[in-house]
Amino acid sequence: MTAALELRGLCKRFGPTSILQGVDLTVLHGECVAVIGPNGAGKSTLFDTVTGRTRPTGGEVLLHGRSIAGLSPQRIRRRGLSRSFQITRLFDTLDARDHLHCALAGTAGGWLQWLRPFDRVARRAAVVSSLLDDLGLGRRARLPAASLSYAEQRLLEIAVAFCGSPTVVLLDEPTAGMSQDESRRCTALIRRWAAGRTLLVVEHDMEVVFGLADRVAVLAQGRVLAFDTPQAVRADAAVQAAYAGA
Amino acid sequence: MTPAGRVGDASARPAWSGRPALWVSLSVLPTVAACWALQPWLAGSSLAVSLLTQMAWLAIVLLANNLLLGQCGLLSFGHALQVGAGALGAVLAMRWGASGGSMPLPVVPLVGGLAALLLAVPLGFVATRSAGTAFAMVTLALGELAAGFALMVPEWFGGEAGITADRAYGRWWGLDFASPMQVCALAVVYALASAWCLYALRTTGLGRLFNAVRDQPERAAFLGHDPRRLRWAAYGIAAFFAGIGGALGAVQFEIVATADAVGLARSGSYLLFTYLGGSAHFLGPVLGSVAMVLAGTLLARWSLAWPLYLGLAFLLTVMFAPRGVAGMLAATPRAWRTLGGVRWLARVGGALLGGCASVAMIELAYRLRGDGGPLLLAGQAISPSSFGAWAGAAALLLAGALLFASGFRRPVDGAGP
Amino acid sequence: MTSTLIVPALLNGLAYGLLLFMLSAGLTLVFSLLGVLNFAHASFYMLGAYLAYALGDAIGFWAALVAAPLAVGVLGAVFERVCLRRLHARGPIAGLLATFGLSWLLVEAVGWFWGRSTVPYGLPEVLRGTAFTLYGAPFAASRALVVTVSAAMLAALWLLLRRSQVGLIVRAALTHPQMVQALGHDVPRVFTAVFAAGAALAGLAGAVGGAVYVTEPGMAAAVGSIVFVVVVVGGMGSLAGAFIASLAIGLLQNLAVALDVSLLAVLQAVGLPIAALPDIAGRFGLAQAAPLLPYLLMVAVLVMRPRGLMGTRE
Repeated sequence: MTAALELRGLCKRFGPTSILQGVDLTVLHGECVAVIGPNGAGKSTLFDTVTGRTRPTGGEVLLHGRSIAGLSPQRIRRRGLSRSFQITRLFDTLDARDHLHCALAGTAGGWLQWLRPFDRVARRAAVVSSLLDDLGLGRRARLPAASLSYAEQRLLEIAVAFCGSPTVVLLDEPTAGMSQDESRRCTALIRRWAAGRTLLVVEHDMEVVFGLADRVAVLAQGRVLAFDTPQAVRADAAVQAAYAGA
Repeated sequence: MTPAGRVGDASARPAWSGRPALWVSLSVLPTVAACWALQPWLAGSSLAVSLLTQMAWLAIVLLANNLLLGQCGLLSFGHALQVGAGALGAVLAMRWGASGGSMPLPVVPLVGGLAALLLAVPLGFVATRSAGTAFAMVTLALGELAAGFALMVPEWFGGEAGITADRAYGRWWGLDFASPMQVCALAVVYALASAWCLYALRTTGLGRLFNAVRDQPERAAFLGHDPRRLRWAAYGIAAFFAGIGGALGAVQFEIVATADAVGLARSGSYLLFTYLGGSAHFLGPVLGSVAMVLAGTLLARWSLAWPLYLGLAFLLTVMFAPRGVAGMLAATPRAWRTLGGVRWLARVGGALLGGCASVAMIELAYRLRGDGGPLLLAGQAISPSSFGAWAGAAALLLAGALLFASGFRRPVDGAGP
Repeated sequence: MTSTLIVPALLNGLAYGLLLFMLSAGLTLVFSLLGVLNFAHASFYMLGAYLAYALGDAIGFWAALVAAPLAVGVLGAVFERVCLRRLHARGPIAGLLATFGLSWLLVEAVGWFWGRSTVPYGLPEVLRGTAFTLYGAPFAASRALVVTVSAAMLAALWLLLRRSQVGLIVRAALTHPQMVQALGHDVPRVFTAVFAAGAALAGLAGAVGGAVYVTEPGMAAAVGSIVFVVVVVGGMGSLAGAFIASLAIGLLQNLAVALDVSLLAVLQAVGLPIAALPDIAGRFGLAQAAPLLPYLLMVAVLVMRPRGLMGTRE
């Protein structure tokens, strides 16, 4: 199987502080990898570096074999790598439907489509309504996103990351702040939307990790400590030590 | 949590969105009816015609400014540059038309718009590299650069006096546009058409993307959009309409003093009145244009302290009414329902009373310095140094404050507006 | 020819550049900490000049040089406390708009109180002559005053920020305001203090600049745009960048006036094969273009480095 996303010796330094100190990770096509680790391990920095939010100070990031290090976020998205954020960042004044349309339009070609109202672009309408059905917002899909509940906003945030057929999706703590039931619903939706795609998920909730991940990577002090199946990682002594000491 | 009071945070979908025929009739019919009703008065007063014409093209200018401010969250201190470019283009086009070229006057505003658009493409390239505060400063500097350049080359721009043109150089469909009424009609037609275009833009995908870039530019980038290119597009579109407005102004006054027209002072007042009118509502800038024309003519004639009033009004709006006059009007029905008629009246009455008292004190203060003519109240001249005048104004201010405060429920249980 | 023209131009450029830096330092500090660009900064400059003029009659030039900035600082503190503080939550644009309104008000108020024409705010006798002579070119005492005050202010600022307790708190509040507040420091009060300090710096620049150059209501507008250009060119939020940009613009403008070389000669010297330009360019001297040079510099810098020379914030 080929690698969808490959990180080789990825380093990121902020001034004198080294956050990522040589991360090696290979995510294969179609698999789901969960990244776990104690606080301060560098998980968000890892995501930021991979998705183009910051520039790596060393190492390589290869998406489908091509280097994406140093590209702008929009170029990386157009190459097929999308992400969701740990802190929900939605467009407060746009409603859920517009969010999905904006996300779909981001990678769709043709500038003429922008001159028509979003609803009139027929080929996207089916995708949008099926996603809205999944989200279960009903008539609230027409309200500004700021008036949705927290869980609904998070689901929308994640749904937006799956729009536009990305091949690799990075989810940063998707179930952060959700209750048990909401987490389970979220995990089920992620599993449905991620079918056929490669997934890299940062999570703290072990139930979600075990429900989604094929393999688990443990990040501690800017390095990958272990990278194996969830059961093997759980039993790994070094991992337990890292969590205990953190 | 809905962010209250942020610039331009309403993208309301009124009932008629998506039904253009309804929108057109809702805007055209009342306008035509109003014009027909006002005609006798307009025919008799050239001042009214002139004011209405100014309101029309200023509405286009301010609507374009609000495309940047309200829709894209871009604060521009260089809007006058595009308006002036349109005016300059119009004057040059009229001169060309007068010297034999084929340039029907009704097309001149479009020429102005194109001129402004052409200028905005390279300038936008420089300006849109930044956003937020940096963008504001860059547009400011570009405007000042243009103003300085215009002064430096009087041969091209006419120096401080400007260059003139004559608009009555031909006849098209029986109209020669020599009469101010015809120019007024032209301006109103362009205003309606521009307003319709800008409103339609809000409903398109591009308009939604502008809002997205305003709310979360970084998120838009992560969706695959280029925020910089979107800002550039907005800058260009705003420039086009600003140019049309400026061109109509040049047609009305048959002169353009470029050095004056493109500088910071002019941009600042466009920004002030766009914000004052209300950047969160589509028609806010139209209210702003009405206010701008009235302030520039009637208010300026009435009081020497008018810049002070404008500055105060603006500061108070920023602090207490960030959605502008349009926002206050839109919130009135709900405020009336929530507060109850009596308390709402108390607040409004108190504010008005306090406002009048403040105006009185400011006018007295100006007279104290020797500015302005005698102050008359009910036919009696009031001396600015008389204690009674100041005491009276102070008492009025106190009364207004008390009345305003009475509009607030005493916090018995800790809650209440 | 050259040395008698260039040396004074360099010295004058240095003085003007340092004055610009005194102004833009306050602006940069406030922007770095509060995130708000103080549009009324140039109005504080104007107010400093007028207050120094008004107080100078009563307490003497040197005492006014201290008292006027303090008064402007107090006004800045009041404005921040009453107006800006409640606008923090709404983002930086709201604060910018509020200071824009304030700038209108200040210019109007000054015009109302002191009239709309130039006031005779001048230097005392001791500062009216030449301070020293360099290479045969006299260096005016007034310029020496500007250089001394700016250098002293720069040193004091550096000491305060880098070496004192207060500076440590300010620098910490810059990046971690909540943490600093949790440690017991009153962050809103820090903000007010910094805004007041920025205003006082502008007032000091005005007290000096108004005496050396001219004091009139239009002085705010004249210097305001240049200060914003300095901040953009240097990189918003960078003191070092503001320093470089101020000096660059001060030197550029003064040298351009001194070296009144026609544009055509410059282009030919550069090697462009131009026999003749349209008539306009022949007389388009660098001296006439001097007021535009800061803006052109800004455009050039932005095209190459969108964040300014040493930009840190967006």
